[in-house]
Amino acid sequence: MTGVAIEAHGLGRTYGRRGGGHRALHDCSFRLPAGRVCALVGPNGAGKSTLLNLAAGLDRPGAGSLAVLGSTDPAAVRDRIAFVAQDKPLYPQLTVADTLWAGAELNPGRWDRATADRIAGALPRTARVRTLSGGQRTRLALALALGKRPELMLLDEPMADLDPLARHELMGVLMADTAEHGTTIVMSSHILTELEGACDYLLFVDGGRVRLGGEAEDIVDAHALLTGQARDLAPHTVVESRTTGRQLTALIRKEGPVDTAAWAVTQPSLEELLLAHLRSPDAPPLLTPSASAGTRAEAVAA
Amino acid sequence: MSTLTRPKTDTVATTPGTLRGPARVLLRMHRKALWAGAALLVIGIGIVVALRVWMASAKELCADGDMTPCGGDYLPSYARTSSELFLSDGGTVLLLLAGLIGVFVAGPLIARELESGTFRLAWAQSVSPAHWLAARLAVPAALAVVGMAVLIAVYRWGLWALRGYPYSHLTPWYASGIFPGTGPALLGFTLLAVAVGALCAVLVRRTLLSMSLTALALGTVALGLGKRRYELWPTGFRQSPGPVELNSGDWVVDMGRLTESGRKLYWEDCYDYAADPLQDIDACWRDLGATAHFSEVHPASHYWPLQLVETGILLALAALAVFAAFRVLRRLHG
Repeated sequence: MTGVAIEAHGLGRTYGRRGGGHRALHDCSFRLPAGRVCALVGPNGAGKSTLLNLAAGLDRPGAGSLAVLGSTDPAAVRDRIAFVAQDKPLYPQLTVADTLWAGAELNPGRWDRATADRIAGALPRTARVRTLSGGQRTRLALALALGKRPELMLLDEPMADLDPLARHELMGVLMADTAEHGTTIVMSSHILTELEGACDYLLFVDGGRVRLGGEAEDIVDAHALLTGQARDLAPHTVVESRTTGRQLTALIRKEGPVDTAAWAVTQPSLEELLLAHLRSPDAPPLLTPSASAGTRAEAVAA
Repeated sequence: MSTLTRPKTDTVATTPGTLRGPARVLLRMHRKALWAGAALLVIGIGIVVALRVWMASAKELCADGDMTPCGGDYLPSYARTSSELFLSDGGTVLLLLAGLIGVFVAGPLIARELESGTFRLAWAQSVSPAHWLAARLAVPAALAVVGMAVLIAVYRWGLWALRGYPYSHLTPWYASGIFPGTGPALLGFTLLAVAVGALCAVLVRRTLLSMSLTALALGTVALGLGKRRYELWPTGFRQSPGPVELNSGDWVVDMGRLTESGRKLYWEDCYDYAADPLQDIDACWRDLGATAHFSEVHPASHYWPLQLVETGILLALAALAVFAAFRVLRRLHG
């Protein structure tokens, strides 16, 4: 599938009053190709939820532009987007069966009852939502999200309340869905291991902007972990380096071939990579070509 | 713009259907409140029916005012005096009921969703914020108007039993506890209640605060109208050399004396005389130059103009509130 699921140019969103406001997003630009399963990672307060809220059309950017599924107004395509917010909002007074019924009522012409029922699985249909456990609420919220057959799924911390078995099971359902229908999925988390393995795309948000973006593999490949005697690391970009005596360990972004004679080269794990970037806020951002928000002309050509 | 290859399936969702889903979900979410509203409606009808049955079954002598067969003594039945007393506050009760609907719209219906975050459930499904709010205005407004129209009819039917009864002093048409409950003005107030409730809810987004604000705003409107209602239509001016003759349905707004030049004198101008029974107040009037009596009156025929002007004002305020509510929601969420 070709096309762009989300494209942001200079996106900004400030909460609170002018002047003393908190800048949740600032000059944030990236592109997410359609059909990917994308991990949206970053520390607490990085702007992940703000970004998802904007992409779901629940909020409006204060600056810049955001195009979702080809529409510059995400709210206009809300019937093609599914969004599960972090706190899994559900009507507490409705039963599970009523909630699924409400999903059908609120998505006329789109609702896939069989899928919703399959995701809801063993949830007791007559139980009221307020009596459900956190994991059960997540399951029901995901059933609502998948039931509307979205082209883009935005999941904010979807796995936080789930036990490992349920997490594995639901991840399997999501993967099957994206394989079958080409659904683009964006999942946020501040714990990367939760998503590693399931996601083929990565957006690392920190300080209100995207610092790493692109295919997970390409991002890892672009970096190397070098160990050896302390010496100049040019021409590579140093993300983080540590010296122990005369021994130097450095995480670098490769700018050409690495001198394998002088350095012991290993490939960092994605987690190591993110931690290194978190510890080095000044490291320049890296967006692979597919994740770079193109000019307007390029976007039209895509 | 980049385009997606997926065929567009969303053309199925047509505009007329867009409010139906949210409205049906809303009704199911608030089933208990719906039952409570139906119960209030039945109780209201039941009270009036019971009062009329009670009055009809109570034996009363000379109720038509012709006291000759009663030997000049008339004693109304307990059923009649009690019913009069109850019915004389029916309009106030109906205003309170309309206010309750507004407070419900402000709190549980809208602000609670904004406060707890469940609004994002509907908005993340295929319901736009404007449709979401429209459903929360249209459903309670339609139900409340139908229910209130029934209660107005029942209340008028209850008052009808007291019509033409010569000793009835508690139930004139213009009483502030009756007038608002007998005509379309109540429907206007009901719609205003729903609209103000929605506006307060989207403005403050806190359940209790928006409920209190709505109650405060509606109370101000209701009390203000009660105090200044007589100004909504020009009064009839009557003057005569002797005391002005009044009909039984006349609502006297103002009265006093007139001088030759047309200046109005009120009893306050002769306060010292009026307070002292030994002095002749007419002498005071004469000294001030009074030559005639006057009174400003709303005759019974002013009932409909007054009701309609009041309805118009309430509907205009309701329309403003609805407009403002949508504007606020749009400014916040697009």
